[in-house]
Amino acid sequence: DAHNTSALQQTEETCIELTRAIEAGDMQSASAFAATLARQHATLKIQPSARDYEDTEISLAVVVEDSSSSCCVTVKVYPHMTTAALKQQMFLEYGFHPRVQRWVIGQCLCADQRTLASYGVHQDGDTAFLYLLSARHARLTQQVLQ
Amino acid sequence: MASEVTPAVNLKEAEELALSLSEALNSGDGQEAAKLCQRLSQLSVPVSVSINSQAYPQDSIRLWVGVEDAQSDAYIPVTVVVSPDMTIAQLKDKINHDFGFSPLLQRWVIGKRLAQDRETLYSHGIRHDGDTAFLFIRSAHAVHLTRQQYNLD
Amino acid sequence: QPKPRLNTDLRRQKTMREDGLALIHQIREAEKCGISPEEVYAAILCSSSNNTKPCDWVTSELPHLLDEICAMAASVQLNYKAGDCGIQPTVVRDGEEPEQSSVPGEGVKLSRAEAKLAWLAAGGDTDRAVKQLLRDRQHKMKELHSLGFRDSSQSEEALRLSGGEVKGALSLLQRPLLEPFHQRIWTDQPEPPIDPKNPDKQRMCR
Repeated sequence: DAHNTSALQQTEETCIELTRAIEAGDMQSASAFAATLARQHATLKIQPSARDYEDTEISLAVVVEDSSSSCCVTVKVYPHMTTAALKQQMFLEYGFHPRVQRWVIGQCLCADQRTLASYGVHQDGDTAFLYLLSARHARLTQQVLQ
Repeated sequence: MASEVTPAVNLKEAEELALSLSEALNSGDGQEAAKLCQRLSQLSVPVSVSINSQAYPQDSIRLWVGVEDAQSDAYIPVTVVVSPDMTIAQLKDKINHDFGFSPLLQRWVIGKRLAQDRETLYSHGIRHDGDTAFLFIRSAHAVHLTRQQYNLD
Repeated sequence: QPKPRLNTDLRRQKTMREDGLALIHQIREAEKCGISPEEVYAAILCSSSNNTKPCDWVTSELPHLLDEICAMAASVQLNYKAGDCGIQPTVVRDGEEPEQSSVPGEGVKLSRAEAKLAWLAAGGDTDRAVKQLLRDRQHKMKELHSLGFRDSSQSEEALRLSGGEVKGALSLLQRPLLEPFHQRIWTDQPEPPIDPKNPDKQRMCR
């Protein structure tokens, strides 16, 4: 019984190592752990576990444009963050003042208080457009708003 | 405008690979398993690898749990019915469901060890009624639970 | 017959409870000093030989250990060849020639912040922490590579500067791409000329 117990614990340990290796994309270690498990003839259940998109950082493809030019960059975001938070992040990372940023996702001009997820951003490779106003236009808009 | 969560494109492929890999491992085919493993790790998807629950003792256990937090002077004892093949992650979900403490706030101590999400209760030596575990509840402040607040909304 | 079994079981349950309670108390003390349960647990496993309190050990000893982990990982050379996804560490020992001379002089540059995450993930085990650290770094390098950053020495440097965060590395690598936009924002400005490098960013839009 004691022997079975330690064997089971060992198998469990190897399962955890295999999980880590697969998730890290470490093919070599993964194959090695799989070989160990195969020798033990362990009865296993392997399945992809659902990724919680709301809570996982994803790579958003951002097409940055202004009146004359366009360029594509990748920005790491959380789908649950608001447009306002994204503007703040772009300010901190790239120095574009929130007021010159206009975000377009799908057919929508994004409202500050809404989340990216609500505009359909869920996974790696989703695309958003960032239009940069010239400072003059941003100022005009500001005056109109006030 | 997509309003529903779009499933990852490679999820179907990952599922099929995972299933084939379990089959290869169960039949002891190391070479095939290694091949499938390589393809699965290329997808870099989160997976769960678990031992078939039949391998564990089947009886349910009345686990004695002492609940504490940083402020409490003494633990509050509660009894939770568990099965030995339950993982710590599953236990956290159960406690969240039964008592409403977010899994992010729960830390489980069994014997001398801080238990990890993927480990089973069995691997921590939980065998019989009256075996002990401690649940330490962290403060939302200590965990910087801003995202959590979003989830609660 | 059943009596001795019952006794050993009672003893086992008693030890289980005492051990658990001891660790719980450490965790509670740690939380008061702002140290997470994972951190104090790993510290206990690392400092078990001496009598330092885990919380003190974290401040006095941990930084040195993290530097050591970085140094151990840096002595392992990695190959970032396209399509090579496994970790193939070539440990370079003193007086030994590296077997594969992959990009000579380009050791992995690692930060304490990354070492700490790896050390926590490895539950305080130094050797596993080194492996985890390299694996994490390789994963990040692969991610940057897949996003089009093919110059591995540039990516390494960006990751080192960002404390191992892909997010920070991305912004460092991509800033030059967006620099022209900064300039154009101010081009059709009538008056007065505004310096985009002025630290008072609010001023730009007033």
